[in-house]
Amino acid sequence: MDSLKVGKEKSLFSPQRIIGLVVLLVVIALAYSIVAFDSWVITLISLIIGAGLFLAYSKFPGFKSRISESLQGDKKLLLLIGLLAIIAIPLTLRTQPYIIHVLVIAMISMILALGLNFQVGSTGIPNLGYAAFYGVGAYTSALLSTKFGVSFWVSILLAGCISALFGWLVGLPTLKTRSYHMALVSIAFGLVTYIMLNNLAFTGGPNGIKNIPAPEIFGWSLFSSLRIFGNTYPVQVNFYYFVLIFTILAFVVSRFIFNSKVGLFFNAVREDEIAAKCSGINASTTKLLAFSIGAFLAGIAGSLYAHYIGYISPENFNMNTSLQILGMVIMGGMDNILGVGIGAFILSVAPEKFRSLADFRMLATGSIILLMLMFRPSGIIKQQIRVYAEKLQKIAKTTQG
Amino acid sequence: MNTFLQLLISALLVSSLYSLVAVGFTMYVGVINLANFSHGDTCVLGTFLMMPLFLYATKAGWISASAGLLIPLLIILLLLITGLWGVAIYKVLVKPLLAAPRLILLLATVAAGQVIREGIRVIYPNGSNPQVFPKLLPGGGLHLSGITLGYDSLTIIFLTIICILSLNFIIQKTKMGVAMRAVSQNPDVSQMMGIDIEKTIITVFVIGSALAGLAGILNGSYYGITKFNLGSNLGIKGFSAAVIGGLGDFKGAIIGGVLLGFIEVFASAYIPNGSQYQDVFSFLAVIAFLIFRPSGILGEKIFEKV
Repeated sequence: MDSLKVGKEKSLFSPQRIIGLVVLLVVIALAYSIVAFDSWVITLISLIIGAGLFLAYSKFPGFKSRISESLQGDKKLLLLIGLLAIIAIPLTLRTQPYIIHVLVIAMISMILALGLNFQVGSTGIPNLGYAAFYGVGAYTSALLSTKFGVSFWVSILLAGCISALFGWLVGLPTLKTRSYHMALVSIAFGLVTYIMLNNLAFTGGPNGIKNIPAPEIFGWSLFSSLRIFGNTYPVQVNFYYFVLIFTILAFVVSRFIFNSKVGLFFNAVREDEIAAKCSGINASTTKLLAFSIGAFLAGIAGSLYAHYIGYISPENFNMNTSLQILGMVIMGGMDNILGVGIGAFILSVAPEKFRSLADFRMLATGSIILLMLMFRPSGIIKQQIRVYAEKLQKIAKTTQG
Repeated sequence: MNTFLQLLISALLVSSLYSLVAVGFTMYVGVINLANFSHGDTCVLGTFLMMPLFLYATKAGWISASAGLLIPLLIILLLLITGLWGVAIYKVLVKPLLAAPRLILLLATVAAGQVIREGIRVIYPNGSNPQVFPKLLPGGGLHLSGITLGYDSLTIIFLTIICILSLNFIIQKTKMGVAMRAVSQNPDVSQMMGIDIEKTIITVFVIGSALAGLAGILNGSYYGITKFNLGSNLGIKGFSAAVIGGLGDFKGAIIGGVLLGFIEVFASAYIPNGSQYQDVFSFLAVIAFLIFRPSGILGEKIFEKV
């Protein structure tokens, strides 16, 4: 009770708030320096500094509780400042469209990783063919808009739904079986999708689909550059804001699902399926739901990718892509939405910075997954312990009042 | 009729390779309930270790001097190396993660497979491209009334049968085999009965990896070519065969391998445009099995206990 009162009477610049602001600024500065400079040295140094700060944060309990307290206290203000920074970043990078392109891809990866997190992280089902759902979404959307002239808004929705349908279908054969069967079925599905996309005539075979139109908002195509205050902004900036909206939506929805009863069901099935069944949870429905939601997000991401790049081919959706996304989830922290976002950010931005080492990209991803699993299986940010005490307090308060 | 016989031989050949991979898979599942997704890449590791060995042996002039004797020796040496590799995989990767949730271990083997695959690609000179694999098997063949029985395919089928029979003997008759079966039924009780679980598991890893290496070099030397990423396909086929036969069942793995080989060869021969989709057929077969008989042909029904 006392702490609540203190929170209300907090002055404009209490030490708590200043700590929170400083932490936020450090995080933004680090993220910016990882992305914004065309030099792998700066990226490497920022990554090392970030890792060092993070280690310091997690090693010293006093430090940790202090910071998390001040972050919690000013959550809304900090979120707002963070959002403003994210909105402002591309304006400072007007002359470097490539870096904005990297950021757009990073956001699409975040949506993908959030989707996979429902399966691998929350429900504990290994999905090793996730790129296939991504591909199904991308191809659905691309085919609809190139062959049938369907508008972007309809095709992205259909892409999500058809991808979700595939997720449901792939989940079906594994309901009675164990986790390694699921791994097998998902790999098989990934390979079959890849073979099909390569061989079927209407998907364009190995050549893929070209000339996918850009999304239009009230008749205004995203492929036309913006001019603000006499400055021309590259088209990537349009897509940056466009994809940003979807990414924020994906984060909000994921968080909502995580905090809802369904998120709890996912975790229950992961921890002990039999116990979950005994508590009245329908394990089959829960698993299928995890599949469908994850695949839906993959479909949305696929559609965004297709309409952004304008060209897709089966090579974008092979086994390596699946493992790449899996790496993001494992590195960031399974079943932690913020962590997964960070993992997706690092694993999609870093390879672009270390382009001279592109040959080692997949080796590095594999090694990162392996090392993470062996030495820190919980990922960068551990999954949160579900706290119900606050909610209960609130309920108690409202019923008393 | 002749085409049919020819297809039969080639189906048997493919079946042999799949069975060799599947046996290792099913043994891992049987003994420590582990689906080792780096198994297929162990096969390819075998081929990529064999090539420098063979090159060295040729340069030293050993091959030309007494070709008949040395190639089997080389193969045995390679089996030993891949067997040791299996021990390394167990000690470094599997053992530290045995206490962790099974999902972590499964994902770790997937990542290990990728590390092996990409490691080969990066380390081996010109590794991204397909490599010519030396002919280890005898060339030529028997011509019998219109069909050709290649000595190489006959050797592969024959070698596979020998391996399977001797493995069957080990599992059924020797003390180690009894230990393996005991551990797969109940590790705790078998430990109480004085079985060295660690030793048993290591033996299984040696056998599994060595067989994978054998499958890899037989595959490579039959097709005369190998590539760093062949292993993912081979591994998944082996796993599919093990699932069809019933995971954890030694005989089931062989039956599954044979079934898969026949489905693949005959479907791609008799269905129009089938060769493009031959992987699709085998995966459809696995999915059908998982829906209608998830325990496989020989597997017992799984009852989960609380």
